[in-house]
Amino acid sequence: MRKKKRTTRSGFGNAIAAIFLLLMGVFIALPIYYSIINAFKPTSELFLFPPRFVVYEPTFQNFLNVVRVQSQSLVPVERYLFNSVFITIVGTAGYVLIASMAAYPMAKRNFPGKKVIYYIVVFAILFRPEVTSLPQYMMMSKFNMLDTYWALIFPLLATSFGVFLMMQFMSTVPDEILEAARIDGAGEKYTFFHIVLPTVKPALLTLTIFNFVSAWSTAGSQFTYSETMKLLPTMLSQISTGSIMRAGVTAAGTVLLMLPSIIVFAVCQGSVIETMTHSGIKS
Amino acid sequence: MKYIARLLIVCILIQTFAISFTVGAEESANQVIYNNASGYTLSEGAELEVGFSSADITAYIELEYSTVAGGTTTPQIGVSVDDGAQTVLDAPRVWQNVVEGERFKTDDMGNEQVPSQKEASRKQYMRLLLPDSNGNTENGIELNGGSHTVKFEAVRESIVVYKVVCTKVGKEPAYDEYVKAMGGKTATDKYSATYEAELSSAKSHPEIIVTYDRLTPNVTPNDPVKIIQNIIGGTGYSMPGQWVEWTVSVPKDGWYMLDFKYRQNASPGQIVRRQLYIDGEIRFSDCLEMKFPATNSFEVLSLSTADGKEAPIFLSAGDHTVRLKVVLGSVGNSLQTLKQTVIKLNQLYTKIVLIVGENPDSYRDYDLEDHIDGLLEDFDSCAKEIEAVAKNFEAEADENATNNTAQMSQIVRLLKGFVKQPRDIAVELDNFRAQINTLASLIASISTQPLELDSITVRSADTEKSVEKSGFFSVLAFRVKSFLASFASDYNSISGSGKSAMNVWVTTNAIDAMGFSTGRDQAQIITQLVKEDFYNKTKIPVNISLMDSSVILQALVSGKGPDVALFVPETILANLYYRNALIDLHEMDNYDEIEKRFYPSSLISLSYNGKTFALPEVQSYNMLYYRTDILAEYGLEVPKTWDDFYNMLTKLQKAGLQVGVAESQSIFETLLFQRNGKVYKDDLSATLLSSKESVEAFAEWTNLYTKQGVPVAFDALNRFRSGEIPIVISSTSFYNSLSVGAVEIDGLWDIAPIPGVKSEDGSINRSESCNVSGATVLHSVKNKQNAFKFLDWWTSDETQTRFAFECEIRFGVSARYFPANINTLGEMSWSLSERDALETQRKAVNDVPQSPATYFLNRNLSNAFRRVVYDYENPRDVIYRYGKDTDNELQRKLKELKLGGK
Amino acid sequence: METVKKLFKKYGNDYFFLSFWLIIFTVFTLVPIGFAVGYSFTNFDMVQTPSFVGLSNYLRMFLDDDIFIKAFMNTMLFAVITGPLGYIMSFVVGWLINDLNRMTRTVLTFLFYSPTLLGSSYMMWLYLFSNDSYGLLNSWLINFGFIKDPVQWLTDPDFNIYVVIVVVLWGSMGAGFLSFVAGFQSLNKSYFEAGAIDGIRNRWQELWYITLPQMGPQLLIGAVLTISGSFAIGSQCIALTGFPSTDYSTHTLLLHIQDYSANRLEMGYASAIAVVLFVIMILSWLIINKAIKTFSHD
Repeated sequence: MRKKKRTTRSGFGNAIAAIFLLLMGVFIALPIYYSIINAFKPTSELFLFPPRFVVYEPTFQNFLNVVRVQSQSLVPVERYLFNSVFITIVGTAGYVLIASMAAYPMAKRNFPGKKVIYYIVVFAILFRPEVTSLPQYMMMSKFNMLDTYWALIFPLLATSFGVFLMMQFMSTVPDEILEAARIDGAGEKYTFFHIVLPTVKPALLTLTIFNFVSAWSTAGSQFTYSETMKLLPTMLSQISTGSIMRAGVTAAGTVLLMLPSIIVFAVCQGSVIETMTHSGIKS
Repeated sequence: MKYIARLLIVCILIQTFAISFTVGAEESANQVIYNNASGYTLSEGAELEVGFSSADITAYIELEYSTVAGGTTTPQIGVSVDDGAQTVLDAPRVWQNVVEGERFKTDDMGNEQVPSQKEASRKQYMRLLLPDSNGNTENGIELNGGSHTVKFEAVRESIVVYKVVCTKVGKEPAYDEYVKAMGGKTATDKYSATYEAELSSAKSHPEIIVTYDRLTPNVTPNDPVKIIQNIIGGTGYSMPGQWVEWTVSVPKDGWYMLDFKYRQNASPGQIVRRQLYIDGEIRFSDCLEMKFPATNSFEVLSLSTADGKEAPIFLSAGDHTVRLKVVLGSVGNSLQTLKQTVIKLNQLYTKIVLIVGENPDSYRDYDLEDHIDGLLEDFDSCAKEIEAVAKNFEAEADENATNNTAQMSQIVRLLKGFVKQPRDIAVELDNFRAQINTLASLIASISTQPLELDSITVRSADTEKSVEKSGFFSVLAFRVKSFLASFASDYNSISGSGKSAMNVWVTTNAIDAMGFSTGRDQAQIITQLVKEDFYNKTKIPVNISLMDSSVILQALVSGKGPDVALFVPETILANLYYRNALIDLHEMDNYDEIEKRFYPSSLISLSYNGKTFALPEVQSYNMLYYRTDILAEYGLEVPKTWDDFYNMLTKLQKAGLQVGVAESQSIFETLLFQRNGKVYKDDLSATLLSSKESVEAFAEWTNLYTKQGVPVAFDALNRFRSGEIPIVISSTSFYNSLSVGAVEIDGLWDIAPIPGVKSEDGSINRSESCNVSGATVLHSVKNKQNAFKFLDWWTSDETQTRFAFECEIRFGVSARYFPANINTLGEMSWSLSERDALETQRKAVNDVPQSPATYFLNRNLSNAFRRVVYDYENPRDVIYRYGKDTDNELQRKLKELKLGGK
Repeated sequence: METVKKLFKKYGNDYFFLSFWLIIFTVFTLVPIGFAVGYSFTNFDMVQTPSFVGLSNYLRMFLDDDIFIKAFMNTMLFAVITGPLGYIMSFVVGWLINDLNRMTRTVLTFLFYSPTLLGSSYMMWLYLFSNDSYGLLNSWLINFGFIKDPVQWLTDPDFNIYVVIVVVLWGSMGAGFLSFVAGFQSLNKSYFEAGAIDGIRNRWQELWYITLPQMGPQLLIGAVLTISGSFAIGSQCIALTGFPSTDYSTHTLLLHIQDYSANRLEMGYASAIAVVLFVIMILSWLIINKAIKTFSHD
């Protein structure tokens, strides 16, 4: 993949841009850096004010304590982990699938009711969930889904942003390709899975990142009563409220929880960038 | 016990009488200086003075005593020699775990419950850890030839004194001498027996709890599904003087090895020390201090000599007792030195901060060495002291020593750098502070010697030591089973109950909200208590869940609300009550008795119109926190009245220091109460914010900041630590923060009741408002009587005390809170002065009743405050305005909730 | 019923594709929204059964609620400032990042996206703008002699609005930013080559003539997210300036909703405010949507 020199770019301009961006990026990421180093601080340094950006005596003790705290836990920690992983995977993969499925006819086809659904999709993004949390809870309760995995997964599947995102990206897929496929005898399902989806891969990956982060950091505390159904963020926060002695454990736990998001991001984002250099849409 | 036998022989030989008070001065190893065969009861507060004469020796004072059954706290005695300072020591009881059959009581699902503990008082013999001239407690005290007196005072609880003995510090035999004395090693028949440590026969403190580790199959016995209480100890088994005893038996006379399976991962990298007594005696010198290095998992340690060789002991056929007692050992002396050094460094730090402020200008040369006498010399001597201690540690040649010595060398380097380059002091002030804290944390961590024990193995001297540890696959299998079991088990429910069980919610709160925090650990403690106590007594099935308080409302709407909720903040309780979601607890049969458990002030926010909708659990209020060292340095007394407070304020400000008053409307309420004012009218139909008392109180409140120069926003913890703000009026949570985050000033601060207003009869009106959280029964309860029984049980003295006790075992001082239950306060481990201060203040506490517009009042007060303090508006106008605004909202809400109102 | 059958024959596939998501969405989002709108005409207080009160909630909101007006002004202020600014920032940064090599791109994207990715941590901001005289900003200003007493950045109504704006901008590079990045990557390279030949000299012209017209969809996505986000600023205000903020200085419509639903338990009124907020957002969306559509078809 040879990079062709673009006549509209000056090397100097690029360099300035790069420096400016790096500075800005570091500044923006500073609070995250702070969260991370907090996990390595011994208790003597955790409560200092003004807060320190450098750890004088870095230690892994907080992470070891995370394990230690688990030995007293009634529910094995793997269960919490499983809960979070399960709903994240189902919620993310499931949502990406059904959202793109729903977006396809919205973007490329015409059918009665399309306009209505389009507006509903957009408006639903705009309606704030704070007020709908109570009715949502009541729905869950009515279907007896409280304290089950469904209660945690369905809210992840019920947003419309993903559909909107996929709609927009799919609309850029040239109709000619679809026509060609149809002429060649491909059914709708085939066209969808083998032609449309690969074309909008960057969007799929972006949506994956977005939903993964959202699912992984869900607390779900309002829908789960039993200890065995709780998710990692809830478990962590409930350990931390036990005493301020748990401040170190909380800091370490927070960092550990960040890791999957970072990994997923790195993998997906890298692919996003990779894919498009091969985009070759124009036939 | 052989010791007693020897003593009696000595007594007979010297021909003393049955009851005697002095003994002839002879150079015998042990002198019985007091003997009362039937026991002399020393009641709380009483004193016993014992006189004796001795030669020029170093000796231990030892005491034979028994405790008086009935109390739950560990008795304490104050001992002073020759009118010296009094040392307060524990005189522990003897406790035993209650077993059922072979092991502990199990619940219906096979989970072992934490055993209850019963007192098994008997005569005990204890060596008193009194400080010598250097402050070290491990070496005995120096006595000159001549007559001496020892005074005993029962500081807490009574004890019965039988004997007092003065024992010359002797040498226990070295191991080889011991072997020779026992007639040399003989062959012993092969034998090996393992005793579970949690099945101890006796222990000194109830804090030494039996608990479980369910993480791996490495602990015996274990089960991936059921809870098995398989270890004993932990952070509760860590203070010098505590001991645990087991009974072992061997079939034949012979030489046997003792293996201890233990874990020490509570104090990272630290060696933990125990003294080993076989049948009440220290057999040889290596038993004086057994060293247990830090581990991440359970390891086996065998009794060995200093050079690492196994050291079998001789046991005759039959039963023997094995006791492990916590000692500071060789580290004790070093600790003393370090403690003194920290005190000195703290003083220097305060002096420096006075000159340069907490964030000094790094480009300025402050010439500190000229302003502070002896600054550099002090730094130098501190550095040298620490160095000496570090060398001692190094001599121990263990991995932990390197950690500690590394930290100490850092400090030494810093201090020496200060001596060389005084300019660096101002620049490195941050680092200096952190290093003092590190040093103090080091002291704190070395002083505590936590240890967990799984089992003790007695094996014949030539049997192999078994060091099998679970391999990777067995751990994996265990974890998988445990994980799968989580789908079938219900950890919330007690007794495997189902739909008909009573749902109890423990609500989570962050500490800022209530001055008391609840989380998963508290929920587990409550589950345990319910299982052992409530369910056993009443057989009512209960389900415990840990939920956020905001979910209560939603759950109620959908009909999935709980029956009982605990630790609910007062504001939520009131809101629920106004909407008819709670039950009036007057319906309880024995309500009148239950009410007596609390001071009326704690029930104010939980009542409305004569109905009470919750029972208080936590009652937080403000206290005065002060630095004893700094106040002493400036010759200041703890202020008792506001006039005193203002005087002190001026003096401190002149010296460059400040006072801290937490920015909170509770201060306004306090000032109002002390003027005998009220926030609301008695019928709660309107506020009294425009009344004379209210305006005066508001003005005084804002004047603190506008006229008296008290800082509005300040980081209380760090300023208190550095000494810049040596006196702070703040809430309970400050106490917890200090105990966790400000270890280096441990012992240098105390609490006192807040300043008050002197009335004509001389008494001081200290009333202030409080913050309450409560336990409540919801309207949708399935079985009201059961719920009432639960609340009755939960708020009882025994349960509340037990709960506080368990919290403190797990979290130490950081879990202490101000209980609403009157008697519980006295049963918690507050120091005497703290307890007095808290009791005094609590009696004076009042409270603001809740109204439907409480939230509005709170924010208006806050806004009003800021108007005056930021924008310099006139306090009187402001409080009028906001008072009226609040009244309007109150009317609106009253009408909406159909509670009256125009 | 014949028409229904015919409908299904022709569009069956389309409905099939739609159905999975649509059903879940309807049950768990649409119906609750419907309920919420319904509550706005009642006096529901979360515990007791609601009774119908018609339009009185709305009347009270516009005629009798000063705080609503304040919240409304604040919301518009925040939205108008942070919305476009954040949007442009995301776009410009995405555009600049586009030219760098893959490794730098990923790293930079991560850095910018980190507040959204890892949960906003306001610790640093609280320290920077702390009321305490040792807070970072205060201590600088005091050291350099600009002020003598610490400024109460977070609780003084004169200042805390600006603090909130700064922090909101900091966290504004979220999913919209990511979709811009994705969008920049999916641009058709051949257009750029054609443009270079046709005489486009610098990156600005390229941006205007070639890049932007192709970015229609991404611009829409970014816009909807920005509107949704900037009108709904709330959690940052709580974390920074307290709830409620002094004299409601940073009170937004979202916080007003929360206040009424969580503190005062007046669910009916809160729902009404939510509906009003919703209508505002829809109006803005319709306007912006039109603008972008016209723009990208130029």
